[in-house]
Formats: sequence, structure tokens, C-alpha cells
Amino acid sequence: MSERVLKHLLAPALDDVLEMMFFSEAFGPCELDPSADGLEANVAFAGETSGSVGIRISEASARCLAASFLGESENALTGPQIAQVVCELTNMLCGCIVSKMTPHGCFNLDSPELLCRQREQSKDTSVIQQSFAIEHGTLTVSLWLSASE
Amino acid sequence: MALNILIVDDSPVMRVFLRKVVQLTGLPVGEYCEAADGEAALNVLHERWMDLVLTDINMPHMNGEEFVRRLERDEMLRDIPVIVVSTDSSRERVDRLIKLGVRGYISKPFLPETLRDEVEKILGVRHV
Repeated sequence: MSERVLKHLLAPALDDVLEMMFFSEAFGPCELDPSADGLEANVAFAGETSGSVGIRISEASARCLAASFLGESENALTGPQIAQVVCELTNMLCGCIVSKMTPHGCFNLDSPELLCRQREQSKDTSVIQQSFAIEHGTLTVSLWLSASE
Repeated sequence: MALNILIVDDSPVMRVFLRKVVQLTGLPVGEYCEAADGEAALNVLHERWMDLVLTDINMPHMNGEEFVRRLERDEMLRDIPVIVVSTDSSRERVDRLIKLGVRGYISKPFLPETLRDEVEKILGVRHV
């Protein structure tokens, strides 16, 4: 599957997850801002295709999505709750992207993990990345594929 | 008839979300119970009567697949309908779980209506 085709899977996957599970939406692609603060999470997958899906989301957006997901006001949320919601968002995005990549394939997802520092790209992976404008900030989705794909 | 529902997921926020979605569906609920893995869920089921179980698959200690296997081996519990709610929607996994006795499978992300339709299909309209 070409990089261009893969990149086009990211937007519909994000739309599905935000609309159905977070009652929110993405407003379209935007420029990546590497200096912006935010939370990062990652989920590895293995099967016919192996790799991982990561997200970076601005803190204000994460708080807003967590409030919507949990049906709570933003002020009532704790840091760990927001972090868990970011992990769930990553988990669902990963499942959605992998299902679109290999609709009839079998795959296993690892547990989502919150990242404390920016991930370094290893030589044996390629990455497809796209940032999206969402409520109160941006969300960047990265799809890392192992070299054999 | 109000339904007693057990939600099994290792993510506390996912358990809150599922409870909220069940409320959105308008299904009449008597009691909600929660468990963080299959083993804890079995303990709940041995203590309380539940009409329906919603379970994740990827969980520590005892995952959803082993939980379903153990339910099927238990004569007291095998008739309780189980719906799997998971991000893993691969055909092979779904087929395997259906063979094990799972009554429904919902892939995340999903709409509240999907859950309501699945519950109505499994329990029958007279319950809801």
C-alpha cells in the first residue's frame, strides 16, 4: 500500500472515532507544530502488517475530548483521567486504521502507552504523519510501519 | 424489566463511557456492576445476578477470550448473554469468539444505537 493511500486512511479513521465516541469532529488537515505542548500516546500492532499508531494532542484539546467522552465538565477532570482517555483514543484510532489497512486480516493490538518524550524514528520504520485541527488545538496522527511492509 | 449489566474493561474511563452509552440508549437498567478483568468479572457473577455482560478482550490477568471460555464451562453462568466491545474486529477473532459462545460483537468506534440494537436483538424486545 503506497504512502499516499495510507495517508488517506488517517482522516476517515479519525472522523469515525471522534464523531462516534467523542461526539466531536476534526476540522481538516493543518500544519504540524512540533513545538506545541501536548500529550503523546502510542499503540503497537502486529499481524499481516506490523507497526504502531501514535498521536500527539494539545492539552486543551485532550481535556475537551476527555470531558465529552466521560460526560463530565472539564474542570472536574483529573490528569490521570485525561491521560487514560488519550490512551483510549489512540487505541481506537489504531484499531480503526489497521482495520482499514487490512480489512480481512488478523492483528493484535498492544495496550496503549502514554509517552513521556518524543519518539525517535528507528531506521527500520517508515512513518506516515498528518496533523488535524480539532476543537481547542491540534491532533497529529502518526502511523509507523516496520521495514518489511 | 430492568436489566442488571456487568461492564468488564481494564480501562476505568472506558467503563464510565460504556455506562454513559447504555444510559443514552434508553435501556432500562437496574444495577450496573464493573470489573477490570475476567477473573474479577467471574467473582461478580458468582455473587450477583446479571442479565447481560459487556466485555473487552485485551485485559491483564484474564483476558476476554479466557473469560468467555470459563463462562461457557460454568453451568450456572453459561446462559448469561455476552457482548464483546473491542477495537479488535478481525474476522478470525470475531469468528473464534462467536464459536466460544459470545452472542454479539461490537467494534469500537460505535454509535449508541448499535449497542441498543445488539442488546434488543439478543434479549428480545419484551425486555426493552
